[in-house]
Amino acid sequence: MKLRTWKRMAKQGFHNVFRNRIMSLASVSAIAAALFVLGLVLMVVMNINNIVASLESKVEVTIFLKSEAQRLDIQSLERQIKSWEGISELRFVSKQEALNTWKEEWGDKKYLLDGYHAGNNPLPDSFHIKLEKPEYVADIVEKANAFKMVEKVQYSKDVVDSISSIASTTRIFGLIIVAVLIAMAMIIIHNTIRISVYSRRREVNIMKYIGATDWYIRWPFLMEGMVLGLFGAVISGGLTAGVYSMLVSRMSGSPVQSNLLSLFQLLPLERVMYPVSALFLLVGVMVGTTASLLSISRHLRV
Amino acid sequence: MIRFENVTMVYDNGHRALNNINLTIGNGEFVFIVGESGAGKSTLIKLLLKEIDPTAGSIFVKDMDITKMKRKDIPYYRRGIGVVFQDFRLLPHKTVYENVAFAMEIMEASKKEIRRQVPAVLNMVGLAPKANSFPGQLSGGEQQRTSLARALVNNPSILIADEPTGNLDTATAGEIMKIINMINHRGTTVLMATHAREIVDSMKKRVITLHKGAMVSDKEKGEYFVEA
Ligand SMILES: Nc1ncnc2c1ncn2[C@@H]1O[C@H](COP(=O)(O)OP(=O)(O)OP(=O)(O)O)[C@@H](O)[C@H]1O
Ligand SMILES: [Mg+2]
Repeated sequence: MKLRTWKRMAKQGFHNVFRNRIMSLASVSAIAAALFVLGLVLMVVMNINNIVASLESKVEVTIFLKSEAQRLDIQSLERQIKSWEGISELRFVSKQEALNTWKEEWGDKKYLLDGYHAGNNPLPDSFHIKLEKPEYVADIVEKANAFKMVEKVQYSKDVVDSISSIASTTRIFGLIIVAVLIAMAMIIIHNTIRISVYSRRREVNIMKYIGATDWYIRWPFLMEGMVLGLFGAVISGGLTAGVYSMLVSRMSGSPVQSNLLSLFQLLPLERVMYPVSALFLLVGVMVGTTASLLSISRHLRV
Repeated sequence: MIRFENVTMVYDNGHRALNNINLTIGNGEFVFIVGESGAGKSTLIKLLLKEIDPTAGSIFVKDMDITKMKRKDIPYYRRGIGVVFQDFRLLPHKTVYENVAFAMEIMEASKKEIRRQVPAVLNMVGLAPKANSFPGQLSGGEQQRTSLARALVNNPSILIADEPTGNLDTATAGEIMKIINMINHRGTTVLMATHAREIVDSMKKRVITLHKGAMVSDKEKGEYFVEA
């Protein structure tokens, strides 16, 4: 088709949307709702993936020692650990050092810990190990556990795993909800286009008599579906961006002290919104066009 | 130009609307199709427009068997045929000009061509002063002239009219017939189904009479004749 015909079709598509206001509104809301939920899911998943990636990049294994461990045994353990594969950094933290750090972390509330001193220090001696790669974790944990003087081995993989499982649960449930919402949006758009076809049946009939091709007749209705999808994408995009930037400003507003919480740095708005809005446009237009195509094939007798 | 060969049309409900029709219409002819209500006139026209396909037989238009035509070629075939109906079939929210331009738009004509062709054809049917009126603001005769203008704007070689004067009073019908006659004189083949005895009798054209789906007479310079 020629450019001017495409223009005419697009114009007609927009025109149909505004002519059929109530149904269009229902369609756009339905798409927007589906995409908004999709956006929330993506926001959560992207952020969790980001946290997981940053955790994995600094996998640390901490080996806590029993209180009865002797200095000599500790020194021999240190030499052995140094010989293991995949160790990039090894640091011994004595129970005294640990207590000092603890007090420092508590800052102006450290008077609460005044009761603790070298004599009743509840903290154990420990080795802090940084790894070259997260793959070494399992191996090192196993080796460390073999020593009698080792009380407990802790590693951030635990956290990584539990956070990862949150991401995958969110992804699964979220996508199920999104699928249901998209199906609903499809049904509503399908009906919208059916009504549009019905209200234009006179025109369609005339077009047939004067020799319009099938696609010339179909395109305006397809455009209508596309426009509905487009509007849905724009609205949900705005909504998602609004909610996300609110979250970002909330999170950065409250000072985060704890070590773990400091990992929850939300991704910047642009990092999230570029892929999300591209996906919104794609999914929105695809859903609108597909629903419209289905409706046309059932209701438009050309 | 148009040739029906042993054409029979039986509708899905088993009704035999046309039975073994054979007829030939030459280039530039003017032919009336008459017959009582239900005789099969509109069925014959629908066959020509390829709105329906015959149960048996062949229909040739410009030496092409349209019963064998591919679906995708139908629109292009229809562009060569102008058609008007008793009920005008205009778009109420478009002006006279836009209704006529519409027929050129679907053929992807340029704005320039449309601006040249539409006023010319409106002039031909005597509607130039009403170009910006909406169908609701027009008399029946003016609406039918709009519809004629739309049928003619793409210079079809055949004009098909199904009771074009059915909704008009005698005087207005006469004006419409003048225009159709003029179009015929410019070389367009005209096929017109009608009940209007006065028109048929006054025009002295070829008359084909259908009765219960059969062709019962075909007369040059004939008169309106329906078997009792
Ligand atoms: N789609 C259809 N399905 C079944 N029967 C039909 C259909 N269309 C027309 N008929 C029947 O075929 C017969 C011929 O119809 P047609 O419309 O061709 O008559 P006509 O000569 O145009 O009549 P009129 O002068 O009233 O317009 C009629 O008996 C009609 O009831
Ligand atoms: Mg009829």
